[in-house]
This record gives sequence, structure tokens and C-alpha cells, in this order.
Amino acid sequence: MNTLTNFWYRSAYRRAIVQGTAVLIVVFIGLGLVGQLSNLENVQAPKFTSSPPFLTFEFLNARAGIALSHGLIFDIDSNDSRMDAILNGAWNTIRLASVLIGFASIMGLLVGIGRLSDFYLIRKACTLYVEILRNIPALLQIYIWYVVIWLTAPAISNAIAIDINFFGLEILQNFIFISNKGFAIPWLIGQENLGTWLFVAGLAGIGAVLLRRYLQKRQDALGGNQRTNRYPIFIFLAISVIAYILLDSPFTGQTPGIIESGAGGAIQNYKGGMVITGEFLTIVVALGFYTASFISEIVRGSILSLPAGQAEAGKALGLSAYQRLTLIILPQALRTMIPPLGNQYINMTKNTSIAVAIGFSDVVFATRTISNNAGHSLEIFTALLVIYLAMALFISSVMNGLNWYVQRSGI
Amino acid sequence: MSIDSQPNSNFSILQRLVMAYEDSDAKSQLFKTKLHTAITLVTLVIVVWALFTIGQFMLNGEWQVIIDKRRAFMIGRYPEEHVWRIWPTVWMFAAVTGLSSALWLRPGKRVLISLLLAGSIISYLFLEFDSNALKFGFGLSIGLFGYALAYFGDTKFKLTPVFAKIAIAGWILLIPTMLVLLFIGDAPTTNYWGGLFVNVILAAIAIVVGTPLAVVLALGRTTQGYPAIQILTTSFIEIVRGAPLIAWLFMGRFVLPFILPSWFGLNEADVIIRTMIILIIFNAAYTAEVVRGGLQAIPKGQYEAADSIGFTYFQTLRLILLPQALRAVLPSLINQYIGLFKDTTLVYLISVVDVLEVGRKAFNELNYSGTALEVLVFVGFLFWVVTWSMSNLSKKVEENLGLGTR
Repeated sequence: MNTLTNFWYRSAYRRAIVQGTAVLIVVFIGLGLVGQLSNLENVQAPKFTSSPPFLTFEFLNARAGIALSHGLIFDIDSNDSRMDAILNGAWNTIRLASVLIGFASIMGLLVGIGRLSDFYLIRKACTLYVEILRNIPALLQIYIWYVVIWLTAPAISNAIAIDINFFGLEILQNFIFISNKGFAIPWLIGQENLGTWLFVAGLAGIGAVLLRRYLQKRQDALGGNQRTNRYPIFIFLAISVIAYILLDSPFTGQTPGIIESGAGGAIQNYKGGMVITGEFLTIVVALGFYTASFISEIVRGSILSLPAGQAEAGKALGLSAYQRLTLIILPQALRTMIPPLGNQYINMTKNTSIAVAIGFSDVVFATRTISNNAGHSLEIFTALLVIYLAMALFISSVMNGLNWYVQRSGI
Repeated sequence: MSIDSQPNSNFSILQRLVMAYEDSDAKSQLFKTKLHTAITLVTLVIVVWALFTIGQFMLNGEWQVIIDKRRAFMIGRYPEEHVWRIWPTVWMFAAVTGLSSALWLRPGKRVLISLLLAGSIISYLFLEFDSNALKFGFGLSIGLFGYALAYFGDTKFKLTPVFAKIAIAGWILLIPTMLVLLFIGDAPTTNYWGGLFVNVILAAIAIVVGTPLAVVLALGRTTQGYPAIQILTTSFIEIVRGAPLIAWLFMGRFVLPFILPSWFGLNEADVIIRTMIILIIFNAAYTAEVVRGGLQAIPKGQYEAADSIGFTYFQTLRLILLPQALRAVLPSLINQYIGLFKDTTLVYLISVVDVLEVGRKAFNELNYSGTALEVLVFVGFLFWVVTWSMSNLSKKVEENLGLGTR
């Protein structure tokens, strides 16, 4: 007995025993699950299940049989492969998330600063905003915005068309369409020389950045105003415009229109331009406002964590409220803000999956539909996990880089 | 000097308002500069417009659907003859809440009166003085009775320790009692569960089962000298946090049934049980990160002190680590729970009929077409009341624990 307790109290042995047991338990559970997978007698609903060999992805090359809309750069139709459908869904999620990150950050920053305003009305309004929106489920808010947008926007058959007139001159007819199928706005259409033009413009851009750096150095050394912004911008614009003319319009603008199809023009849809669908807009507005209420709390918390002496010193120097905010408070608050902000961005990216509720074709929508058609739910779920993990890792690496930069330079 | 600190009943309400205006910073602020005046006027216009719109919506909205479907909103299609399984839990909850609030929170008279008022309005609107109203009123009076008992037991008879034990026992027994009542005898299957009841049960189970699991995971992740355990717990937490809840719910629907072992008929488990499993795992992974924050905030000296007086690992855990760690992260913990409660609306995706889904079904009915906004606003209000009171509760508990003041 004594040797046994001695054995247990030797930390090296104890560590080995405890860890060995834990690993054994996990391996046992894992083997159990795999055994269960192989034992397909237990399967309840064969349609949705996988069949051995597991975790092979050949089925993704087959025809998808679904069409996804809401694509910006590419829509896919039902003849494309399942892989394309999933990637298109992932692309939609990425697009949604990037628009949302921008919108929610700006909104959250404004509300967070507003909650600390000296002015009673602004402070109370922002508090009311946060207290209401934070406490209602995101899904419910999406439904509410969807209903509101659906109720207020007209049907596409009498879509609102906006013209631009300038003192009676009709410059652009049917510039923007608004209906419950979404916004249609003018967009650029690339021609054959687009690649060449992009290359030239990119070179010009790099040259402009280098020139700016040179001028900045010169200004630091010689003093005076060396127009560090004006010359590079002018050179960049000039080269781009000349290249545009020489290359015979590598891209042109395209205004949207409405086409009719079906019997007697019963089905109408947008054609041309860029269409921001009602679903996309709903989710951006709903999730943006929702997430902004959390971001505003982060902003408020990090501003409050600064010593009061910082703002007072700014006052003593005679800086205006705006100058105090942009020169003293925000640069310092940014340091404590970035890590929780990154978490919030990742959360929001995952929250975009709620968009399936109103039929936005994001990656969850695509994978779910394919899983319904083709089975292989285990493999598809693995793919979904990998896609979201990749997005989360990307966001957190960007935020880590930003954090490193801010900590180092203090902006 | 504000009016609150010097109440003087000799003045009329109007005089008091004028005095409050004169005293407050409103006078110096609302019209301080031209910009302030402009903002004030714009706000005034917006407020008037908003009040007008909301008033119009309240008056002209078709609220009949909510009155008609009030049962479904609360309990879905749970059979009438089995509702007795739910009421005792509600009463027990009321009693324990009353006891605990008198013992630890001490809400003012105003809170109690508004609670009573809200309860009466609810019972008038939604229960219309049938037998359910009586049961609801019974719950309310039990709560008040518990409050009074604890209050006077404390002030007159010094019975606080006894009541504290009763309250803690009540909180611990609440969920088991509920489950026993819901499953005992020839109870309706979980397919009949629905409404707000399902949201509350799912959140409660996920919190009660998930939090201990989360503590274990967090301890595993912060442990020193056990790399295998660290790797296992970290990868579990990160994988669960990697995918959105919707993806996990789909997995619960399509993958879980055929990877669960057939012991206890687990792979025939119905959809509510599977949702519970998913939510428990999900909540555990997120709560583990919150708890980990608390564990990492504990200074190293605390561990060393525990070692030096010869505490075993579990003594250190129980007496030193967990009390401090959980206390420090209490606000984030409550935030996590609020988030979880809001996330329970997503279970409609695996065809659990929660309160939001009841609402959606209601306004898709032909009789109630065009009432979507009314239904959604009502459901939103339900959620808002619960989550807002939870966050207020957490603020109050923070104050009582003295968080952030020492």
C-alpha cells in the first residue's frame, strides 16, 4: 500500500497516469463513434446519412442541381458542381461578413462614443438603443426587419426608379431601382482590356506609394510642405485615366433595368447593374444594428478604462472635443479595444449563418441543400467546420496583426 | 441637489418637475449652443413621431392573434390535461425567487409593486380570470409570501441562515423537480413541448449541465504540466467554437442520430433531447472560455499559498480557485447565459417549435394574415423582459458582491 501511494505522489508517474487515462478515454469514445458509423444497421434515416468509406469528398464533383442567387461576381446554376455551390455559398458569407464588419464597426463606434457624451439626450438615446437591441434575439430582429422592408418596399412591377436630373437636363434615367427584390444600382462591366488596365493602374498605384514615401522623407529632412499627398494622387489618377483612354474603355458603366419573362411578362426581375437583394440588405441592417450594440459596449469599456487625466490633459491644452477624441482618446482606447473586437467580428461572421432563416444563399444554405440531396452529412459538416474555422483564423490573424501594429507604434 | 435626495411633499408635481428641470443639467445642456438646440429640436421631433407611430401601432394593430394564441405562445401544443406538470415548477420558482430576493437582493417596494402590477396585467390580458389566472395569481402570491417570510424572518426573528439554506436547496432542486414532473407517469412525449416553455427549459438545462462541464474544460485548458489534457480540452473548445450554432444544430439533426451509441436508446432520442445535447456542449465550450478568463486572473501567489498550507488539488479548487474565478467573471457569465437564451430561438431549424416558431406559424395562418409585426413585437417583448431583468439582476448581484470596488 505504501509503495502504491508513493507511486501516486511521484508527480512524473501521476502525470503519466492521468494523461494516459484521459487519452485512453478519448480514444475509446472515438473508436466507439467510428464503430457506430460502420455499424449502419443503426441508421435511422438513410437519406441523410453517410456511407463508408467516410470522409471522402468525391461526391462534391457531381452536379449540384441547385442554383444559388445573390452572387456578386458569379452566380452558379444547377449544372455546376457541388464544390462550386459550396464555394459560392462561402463567398456569399464572406461578402456579407465584410460588409457587416464595416457597418457594425462604424455604428458601434458612434453609439459607444455617444453613450459617453456630455449631452444628456445623446447619452440617453444611445443607452436606449443598446438596452433594447442587445436583449432581443438576432433571429427575431432579422424577421422584424424583413417584415418591415417587405411591407414598405413596393413590388417589382411598380419599382421606384430614381432619375438624376440637373436643371431639367436628364442626365441618367432609371439610375437606381428600389423594390422588394432589392436595390439595383449602376455597376461597372469589364471589357477585354480590363486585365491590362488593372496591371497599369496597379503599377501606377505602387509608384504613387513609393513617391509618397520619398516625399515624406524629403519633408522630414528638409522641412516645408512637399505636397506629400497631392503629387502621388495626381500622378496615379493621370496614368489611370490616360491608360483608360488608350486602352479603349477597359470597363464601362451599366445601368440596371427590369426584364419581364414568363407568360405575359408575369415574372419580372432586374437585369444589369448590381443588385443588392432584399435578403442581403435585411441581414446587413439587422445584424449590423444588433452587433453594433455589442461593439458599442466594447468601445465604451475601453474608453472608460483610460485614466481620466488623459482627457483632462487634452482639455488643459485647449483641444476641442473632437480633437481630444481623435488625437488622444481613440488611439489609446484602440489598444484595449482590438482583442475583444476581433472576438466580436468572429462571432458576427458565425452569426451570419442565421441568414438561412430568410433564404439567403450562404454557405450553410448551400451545404444543407446538398446534404438533403446527396446525403454525406458527415463529410459536408466537416467541410462547413473547416470553412468557418478558416474564416475565424483569417479574422483573428488580421486582428492580431493590427494589434501588433497598434501596440508597437501606438498609431 | 436633485429632487430625489430631498423629497418634499409640499410641492405639487408640476412644481417638482420645474424644480427638477432647474436643478438638473438639462437646463444648461439642452439649449447650450446652436448645435445643442438643433439636436434637442430634432430629438423632440423624432420622439413625437416615434410616440405617434408606436401609439398608432398599439391602437390599430391586430392584437387578437396574441390573445387567441396565448396558450401556444407559452406551452406550444402541450395537452391541456397535463399542464399540471408545469405549474408546480412555476410556483417553486416564484417561491425561491421571492425568498432569495429578500435574502440577498433587497429590491425596493417600488420593484415589488411594479412586479405585482405587471403580474395582474398579464393575468388579466392573457388568462382572463379562468383557472389559469388563479394558478398564476397563486404563484405570484407564493413569491410575495416567500419574500415577506424571508424579510420578516430576517428583521424580527434572525432566521436568515435557515432561509438561506432553504433557498439554496430550492434552487438546486428546481430543475430536477421540473424534469421529474415532466417525465413521470404517462407524460406526453417531448414532441408536444413548445412555446416559451421550451426556450426556458433548453436554456436552463444547457446552463445547469453545461457550466460544470465548462469548469472542467477550463481547468483542463489552464492546467500546468499535463500537455495531453491541455491539447484535448483546447481542441474540443476550439472546434466547438469554430462552427456557428446553426451548423451544430444541423449536425444534431442529421449526424448525431447515427453516431450516438445505441445504449439507452440514445440514437432514437427525440429532437428535443438531441437539441439539449448540442446546446449543453455548445454552452460548455463558450462558458469554458469565460471561466478560463477568471482562472487566469488569479494571482500565482494564491496557488502557492494553497500549496504551502498543504491543500490537495480539490481543496485548492473548491476553497481558493473557483470562488475567486467565478466571482470575477460573474458579469460575463451572465452575459453568456443571456446570449444562450437568445440563441435558443435557432432551434426552430431542427423543427423544435419554440416561441418564435409558434409566432411564425400563427401569422402564417389565414385568419391572422398581416399580423406579422404584431406577433414579432410581442415575442421580442417577451425576450426583452427576460433578458433585461437577467442583466439587471447581474448588475445588482455585482453591487452586492462588491465587484469592481475592491
